Amino acid sequence: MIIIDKHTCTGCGTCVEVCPEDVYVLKDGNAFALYATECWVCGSCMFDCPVQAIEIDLEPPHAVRFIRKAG
Amino acid sequence: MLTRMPDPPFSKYQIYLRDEAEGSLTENPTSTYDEEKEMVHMTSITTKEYQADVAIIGGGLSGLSAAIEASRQGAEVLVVEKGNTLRSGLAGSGIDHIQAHIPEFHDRIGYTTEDLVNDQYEFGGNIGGLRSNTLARYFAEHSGEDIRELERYGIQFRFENPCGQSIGHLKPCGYKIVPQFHYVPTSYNFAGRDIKRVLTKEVLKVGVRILNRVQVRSILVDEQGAAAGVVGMGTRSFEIVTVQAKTTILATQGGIARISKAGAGGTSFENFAAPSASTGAGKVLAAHVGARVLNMELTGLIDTYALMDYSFSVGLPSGSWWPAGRIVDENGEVVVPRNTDIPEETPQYKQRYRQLVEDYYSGRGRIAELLAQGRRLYFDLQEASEEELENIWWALGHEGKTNVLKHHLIKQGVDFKEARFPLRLGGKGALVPAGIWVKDDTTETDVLNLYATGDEIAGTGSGLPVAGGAIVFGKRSGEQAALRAREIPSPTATNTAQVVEGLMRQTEALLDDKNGSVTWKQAEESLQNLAEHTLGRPYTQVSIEDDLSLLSQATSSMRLQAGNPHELSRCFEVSDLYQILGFIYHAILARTSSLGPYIRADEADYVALPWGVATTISIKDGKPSTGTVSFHEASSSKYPTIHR
Repeated sequence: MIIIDKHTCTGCGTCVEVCPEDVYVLKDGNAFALYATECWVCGSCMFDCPVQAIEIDLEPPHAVRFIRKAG
Repeated sequence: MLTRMPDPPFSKYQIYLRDEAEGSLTENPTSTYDEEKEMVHMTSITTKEYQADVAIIGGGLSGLSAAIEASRQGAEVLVVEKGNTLRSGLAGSGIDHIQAHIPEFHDRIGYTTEDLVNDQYEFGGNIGGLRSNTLARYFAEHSGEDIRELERYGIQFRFENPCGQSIGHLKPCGYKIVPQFHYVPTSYNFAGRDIKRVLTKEVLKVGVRILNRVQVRSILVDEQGAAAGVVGMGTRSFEIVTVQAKTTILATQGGIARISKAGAGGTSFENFAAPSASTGAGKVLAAHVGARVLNMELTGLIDTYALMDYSFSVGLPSGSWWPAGRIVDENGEVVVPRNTDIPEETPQYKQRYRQLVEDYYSGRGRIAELLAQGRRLYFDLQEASEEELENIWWALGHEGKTNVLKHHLIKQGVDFKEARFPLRLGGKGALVPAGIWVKDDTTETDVLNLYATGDEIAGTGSGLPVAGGAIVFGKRSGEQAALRAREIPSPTATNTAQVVEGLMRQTEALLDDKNGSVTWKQAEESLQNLAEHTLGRPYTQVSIEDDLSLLSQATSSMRLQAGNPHELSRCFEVSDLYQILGFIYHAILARTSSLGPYIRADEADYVALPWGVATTISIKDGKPSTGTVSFHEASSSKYPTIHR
């Protein structure tokens, strides 16, 4: 799942440049995940964003399930 | 939508473009969108030409390694990349280990280059690698030097807390070395999350040109049928790019995960199957100029990895990511102990590791059995030391999607000392790369002046450690292609006009929705349904012939339609996947014996094709032509084979 913090995003276009799946475009001076469903969760945009405005998190079934305390 | 408009028209093709952004972006339209907001507007296909000594298809690890080496040999090099080399390909979001033989360490434990060759044969080969000892030997002898080269580029290989794993023989080494294969420490961990950025910088430093966002659609040939460059299409503009080159290197991705939903859907948490690259494009390109593509039927082994959960898909419980991992049952009873209870370097240790590999990847072992009985099993790290946990967190931060996994785990506040991860039977993935036949370690293919490297080298993508093989053979292909380029005159491709014209017509047809339309997503799903309906089930000559006819029907009745360059690029990918499925069916027919999960029900009617012989497919006179080829030489391995 792609979460973009519009207030932090400066619209520099780094994510548009690096995304291997061509997910991003610029819209309203912000990063916009036009092809979000094609995201492969590689995390490149998250690593390279100079202001950490993008978060990529896992959703089911990819989210990791675990039991916190051994029973 | 178009992120960039093409240059003024050069071609006679005028295209009416549907703006796909319409509707979804009506709120707060931007300048970027406003300009293109009309329902239909007109644009044109433009063309651009380049010349180079060496053209490289794909700017992944192998393509960039090839570029650096070719440039060093004095060649003018041009890399054509579908994404952006900063983050594209298998190593796009990092790769953190490379297998290598470094004499200063391995001599101490008596692990020779020949041992590495044997390990490649046994472990790499058993999931479909070519088992070429010629290639494995070249790799064993050159990998150590290549590590040092990566270090010179500024990638961190040596650490203050060296050799975090329990490999006392090698301390103090400064390297993080983790065991692979026979549990011999041969895999060097490094801080490689940004390896593609680092390599891109090196590539540009030596004067190589990179064309990002260009999808290669054809390899050009001269009168003799020798490779003479490439033709590609922009993925963000309707620009046809022609590169005339003396020699061409195919450095595309080997895996074809998008042939199955499971593969494309991200079941695996690895990074070897970035979907834009997992379409078999390189094999289609190569086959159409007459290069032989090997073992396509192995690519269809879509249930090779049977147990997929994060604990597994990020590595074996005792493997490189989870050195202290173990498996316990509902009652906390240990089912698979952590890795320090049996002394390393003992036959029992190696045997157990082999058993783990068998259990995890075949889906037929003890773990699979217990899970099938409805038992609840857990993976945990409760016996890990602080130092090991530190190493585990380190290891989670440098390769592929484990980076995202790390972020996810931190966000959830995981405590490895307490957490238990439920294990379960998981999905499938088309993970076995086929490849292009090469003569030997020169990486020359059947086609003169065409070289294959990285995943595409001779089906060894799985047979040789992926990142290491990409770098070692990338360099080798770059060197060979550059040396050849010195000897030959400028290329004279004879089919450029024909190829460019063909691509224009194809583009025009894909952008035309007069006859109804099917989106690339619909077409891909339809193909995946067909693949999953037929692959991995018992088959006969007759049933595969039926499948071929179903595929042919599906192909001819489809009206793929794109509204912009992005979608056009996806349409090309899907059209490659349709061809690839055909290749797989033809190769299954050429493989006259059962193989892994494929059961040929009419096997008795055929002479079995021995393991160690590859099937081949190429396009001759517009039609698929299959055959077989013997691998280079068998290994006199000291270890028994566990898979066939």
